[in-house]
Amino acid sequence: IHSSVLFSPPPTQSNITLCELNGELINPNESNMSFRNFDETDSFYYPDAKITVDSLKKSLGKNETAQLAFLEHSQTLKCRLQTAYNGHGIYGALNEINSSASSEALPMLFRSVCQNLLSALRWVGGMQLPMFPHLNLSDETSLIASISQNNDWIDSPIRFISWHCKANKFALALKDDTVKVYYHNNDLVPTLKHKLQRNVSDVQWKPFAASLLAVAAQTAVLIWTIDPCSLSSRPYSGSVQVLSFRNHSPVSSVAWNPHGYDQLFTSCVLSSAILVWNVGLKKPQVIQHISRCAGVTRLLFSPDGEKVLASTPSSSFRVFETSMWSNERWSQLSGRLQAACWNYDGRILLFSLLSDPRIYSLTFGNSKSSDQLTVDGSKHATVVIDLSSDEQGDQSNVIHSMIWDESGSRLAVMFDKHDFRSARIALFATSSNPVFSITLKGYIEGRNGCLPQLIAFKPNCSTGACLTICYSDGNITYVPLYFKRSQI
Amino acid sequence: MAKNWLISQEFIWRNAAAAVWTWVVNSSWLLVALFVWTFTPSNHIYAVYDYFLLLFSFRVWVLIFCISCLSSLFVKLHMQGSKVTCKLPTTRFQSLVAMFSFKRIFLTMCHGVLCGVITAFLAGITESKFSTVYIQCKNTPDYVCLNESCYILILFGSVVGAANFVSRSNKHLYCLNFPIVQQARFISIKCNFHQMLVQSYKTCAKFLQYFLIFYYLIGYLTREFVADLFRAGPCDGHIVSTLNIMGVISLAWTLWVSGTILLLLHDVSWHLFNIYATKMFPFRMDSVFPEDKPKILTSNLTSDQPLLVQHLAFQYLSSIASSSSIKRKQIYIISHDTGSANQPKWNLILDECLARLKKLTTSIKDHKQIALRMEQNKVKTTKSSKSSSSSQSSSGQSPAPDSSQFMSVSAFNHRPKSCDTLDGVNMSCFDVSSLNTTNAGNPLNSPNLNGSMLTVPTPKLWTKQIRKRAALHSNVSSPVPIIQPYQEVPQVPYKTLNSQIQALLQRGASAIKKFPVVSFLFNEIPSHSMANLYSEHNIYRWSIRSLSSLSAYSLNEDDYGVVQRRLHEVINCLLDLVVTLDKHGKVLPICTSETTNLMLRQQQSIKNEAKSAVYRITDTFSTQLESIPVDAEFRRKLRSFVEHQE
Repeated sequence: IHSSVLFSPPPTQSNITLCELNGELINPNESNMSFRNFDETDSFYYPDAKITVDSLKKSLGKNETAQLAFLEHSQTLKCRLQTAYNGHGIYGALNEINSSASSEALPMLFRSVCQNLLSALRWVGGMQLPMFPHLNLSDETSLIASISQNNDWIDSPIRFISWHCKANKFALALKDDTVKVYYHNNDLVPTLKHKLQRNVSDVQWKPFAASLLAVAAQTAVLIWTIDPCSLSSRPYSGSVQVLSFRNHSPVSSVAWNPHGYDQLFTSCVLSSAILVWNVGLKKPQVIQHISRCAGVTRLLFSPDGEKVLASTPSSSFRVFETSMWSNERWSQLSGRLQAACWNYDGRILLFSLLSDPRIYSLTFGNSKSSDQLTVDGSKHATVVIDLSSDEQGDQSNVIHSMIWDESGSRLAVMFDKHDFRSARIALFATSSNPVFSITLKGYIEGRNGCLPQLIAFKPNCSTGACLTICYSDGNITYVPLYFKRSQI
Repeated sequence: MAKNWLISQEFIWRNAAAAVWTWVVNSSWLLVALFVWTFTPSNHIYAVYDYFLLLFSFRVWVLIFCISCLSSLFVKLHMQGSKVTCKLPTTRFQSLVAMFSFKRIFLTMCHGVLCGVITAFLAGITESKFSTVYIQCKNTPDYVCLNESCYILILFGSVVGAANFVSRSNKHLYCLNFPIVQQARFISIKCNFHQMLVQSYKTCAKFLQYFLIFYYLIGYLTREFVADLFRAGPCDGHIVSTLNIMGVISLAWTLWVSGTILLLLHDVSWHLFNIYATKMFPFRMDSVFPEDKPKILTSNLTSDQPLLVQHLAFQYLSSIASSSSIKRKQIYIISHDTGSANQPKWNLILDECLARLKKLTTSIKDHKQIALRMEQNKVKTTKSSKSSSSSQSSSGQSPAPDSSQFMSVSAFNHRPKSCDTLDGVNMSCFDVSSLNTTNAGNPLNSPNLNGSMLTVPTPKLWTKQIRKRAALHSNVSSPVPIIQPYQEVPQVPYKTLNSQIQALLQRGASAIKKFPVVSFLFNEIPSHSMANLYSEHNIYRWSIRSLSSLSAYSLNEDDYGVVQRRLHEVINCLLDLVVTLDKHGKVLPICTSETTNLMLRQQQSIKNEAKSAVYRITDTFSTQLESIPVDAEFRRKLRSFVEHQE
C-alpha cells in the first residue's frame, strides 16, 4: 500500500502544468522558457473549445411552456387537473394535486391521501424500496448531481465530455441542455438540441461509427446521427431517435457495446433494471434486475467488452460477464462506489468509495482461453493507494473520479470539490506487467481560481496520452503526456 | 423440416423443457395469484383468512396442478403456430387467405377451448357462485337451470383465449423474437414478468369491455342455446343488467382477474417457448466422423436448411466470431477434410454470408426498380387517359399524337421511352414541338428537324440507357446539338400463335385487374413487399457481424492469410450494401405507418451494423487497405470510412 503522505507534497506555486516529458511534469518557469509556447503548438492537434458561462442561458424549465410568454391568467383547479391528466396521466394528476398551487384549494386529508397514492404508484411502478437514502432526494437534478462524474454538475458550464474513440473530436454536454460537437479540423460546431434533452448525465460515442452519439437525458435516451460532412450546425429533427422505457428515468448511464454492435446499455438511478437496446430496431430488453440496490448509477464496460461494472447507490456493486450476464457481487463496502476504471485488458478494476481516501483493486481471471466467459473476480479488494491527509475531515469525500488511459500507463485522479487538493489532479504511473504497480508522478496544476470539473483521456493517442481537463470557468485544457506506450 | 437432425433431436428436448418450466413457473405464481382470485370487493375483510384456508386444501393443490399442466399445452400450440420470420402478405387476397386458413381457425379454436377449460378449473378453486354449472331454478324448484355466472366466466375464458390468439397473430407476435443478448432462463422470466403482468391486465381490460357490451346485447341468445344444449332450464334472471350495477361490478372484477390469469399463463408459456427456441446452440466446428457432418456449423448455414436452423447457425457464428479466439482459429485454419477440397472454413462461411448479403442488396435494387417502373406506368396511364379525354373534347383538331413522342420540357414530367434509344453520352431529350412556334429563328431549328425531339448536350441524367443504344448510332459523334429524326420502331413481322394467346391472356388479366374489387384484392401492397425484403434481418445482421469480426481479428490470428486473400470481396459486398441502403432505402410515400415503421427499423438496424462492420475493418487495417483491390465506385467511399467521415 502506498500512501500519498510518503510522496512529495503538491507544489505551492500555482503554475499550469504543460505536459509530461521524460517522466516529469513540466511547469513553466524561468529555466524552461521554451516550454511556454508548448501548449499553443500542441493544441493545434486538438479541437478548440471554449465555453463562456454567459453564453449558457438555461433553456425553458421542465414545466415552462410557450404559454408563459403571455399574460398570466388563473386557471381553475379542474382545468389544471384535466390538463395534467391529459398530458401525463394519473401521475400528472396526482402531481398536480400535490403541487403547491393546488395545496390551498384542497383539504389536507385529500392531499395526504393523494400523496400516499403517488408514493404507492411509484413504488409499484419502479419496484423501489423506500429504505435507500437517495430516494429521499425529491429533486431529480440533485439526484443526478450526486452520482455524476462531474465535480459540480449543477453549476458547471460543462456537464460531460466524451471523446470519440478514433476520430479527433469530442462532444460536450452543457449546462443549457445542449450538446456541442467540436472537431479539430473544422470550425463548424454542431449544436444538438431537443425538448427531451434535459439534465444530461452521460454522453457516449458509438465505437466503430463516426456519427452516432447517445445522450442520457432525464426522461429518455437520445441517439443523434451527426453527419461529419454536414455543413449545418443544427441537425434536423430526423437525425435524432428517442429511446424511452417505462419507469426508466432519470437515465444515469449509457454504454455502447465495445465491439461496435448496435447495442446500447442503459441504467437508471431509480430503477434496478439494466436495459439493452437494439438501437436500429428500437427494441429494449431487460438484462437484469439488481435486487437490494434501488437503482444503478453507472455502467462501465471493460475495454475488451467481456465484463461490465454496474455500480449502485447502495454499498455494493456487481460485475457481469457479457456472454450469459451472470454476475458477482461485492458488498459490505464502507460506502457506495464513487469512481472506477478498468485496465486495458479488463483484468484489473480500480475503484474508490464515497468518503474513503483509498483506491482499491480487484483482479479478474483470464477467461479468454476458455469457451465460456466467467467473471472470476478476486474475493477481496486490495488497497493499492491511500490518499488520506491530515488536513482532510473525517466525513468528507476525497476522490471524485479517476480515469485510466487506454495503454494502462497513466492513472489520473480528480479530487472532490471539498478536498483541499481540489484544484489539482493527481497523476500516477501504472504498470501491470509482471505485477501491478502504481507510482505517483505528480500533481497537475490547473488554472488560477478555477477548479477542474471533469477529466478525460483522449483515446487513440500514439505518442502517449492526452489528459483533457474541463474547468469551472468553461475552459478546456489539454495536457499531453509523452511516454513510451507499452505494447497492448 | 422434421428430417433435420436439430429439429428431430434437439428441439424435442427444448420444447419438452419449455413445457416443464411452464408448468413450474405457472404453478409458482398461481399460488400467489390465488389470493387475488379469492379476493372479492364484497368480502375483503376475510380475504387473507380465506386465502390461507385455501392453501391447506388438497383440492386446490390438485386444481393448480391441473391448470399448470393445461398451461403447458400452450407450448404444443406454440410449436404449431409460431414462425421464425414474419413475412407480410403482399396482397389483400393473401391476407384473407391467411386469415381464414384451416390452420389458423383450428389454432384459434384450440386456444379458445383450452382457455375455457382452464377457466372452468379456476372457477372450481373456490366455492362461489361461479363454481357450479347448474343451479336449482328459483321459479320451478324441481328443475335445474344453467348457472349464468359460471357460464359467463367460461365463455369469457374461451373468448379471451381465441381473441388473444387472433390479436397476437395479426400483430405478428407469434414470430420468434431472438434476444439482443443471451440470458439465463430464470433471469429472463424474472426481468419480464412484471411487463407481462402489466400487458396481461391491460389486454384483458380491453377484451372485457367489448365482451360485456356484446353479452349485454346478444348474450341471451347464446345463453339459451347452451341451456338447451345441456337440457337445463332457462336462467331466472339476467346478471348483466343495468338494474344490477353492483352485480356487474363484482362479475367484471372476477372476469378481469380470470382473464388476466389466462393471458399471463399464455404469455409465460410463450416466453419460455421463445427462450428455448432461440437459445444459442453450440454447433460443432469440425468432426472426424462422417456421420457428424450435418452437425457441423458450416453445413447448417446453407439456405436449404430449415429457417430456424439457419438462424441458430448464424447466431452462433456471430457469437464465436466476436468472443472466442479458439473458435476463430478453427475457422482460419486450413482443414484436413478431403471432402471440402482442403478449403478453410473461412471460405465456406464467406461464401454463405456473401451470398446472403448479395441477395439482400440485389433484391433491394430490384425492388426499387420495379417500384419505379410501376410508378412510371401509373404516370403514363394517367397521362394517356388525360390526353385521350382532351382529344375527345377538342373536336375538329387533329388526333393527339402518341404521348411518348410529346414530352413537356418540365423536369417533373416523364421522360419518353424514345430518349433511351438516343445515342451520345451527354445527351438529353426535349420536346421541340413546343419550341417550333416561338423559336423560329433559333439556329437549332435547322432543316434537319424532322421529328419532334431535340437532342442537346446536358448533364448526364440517364446515361445508362443511352449508352445501350450508342452502338446502333455510332455515326453520330458530334457533341454539338443534333437533330435526331424520329425513327419508327420496326415491327416484328411474325408472331407465333402461342405468344398471341399469351398476349391476349395478359390483356384479359390486365382488363380484369382494372375492376375496382379485383384490383383492391390482387394489387400488390408495396410497403409489405418491401418490408418482406428485411424479414430475415437477423441473418443479415449476424452475417455482417461475423464477416467483419473475422476479418478484423484475422490481422493477428490468421496465420495462413486465408482471410486477406478474399478481404476485397468482403469490403466490396459491405460497401455495396451500405451504398444501396443509402440510395434505395427510401420509403415510398404510399406506405402505411405500421409496416413502414417495422421496415424502417429493420433497415436502419442493418445499415448501422453494415457501417460499423466497415469501420471495424478500416480501423483494423487502415492504411493497408490501399493495396486491396476495391471496386472503383467504392474506393472513395472506403476512403471516407478510413477518415471517419461516414
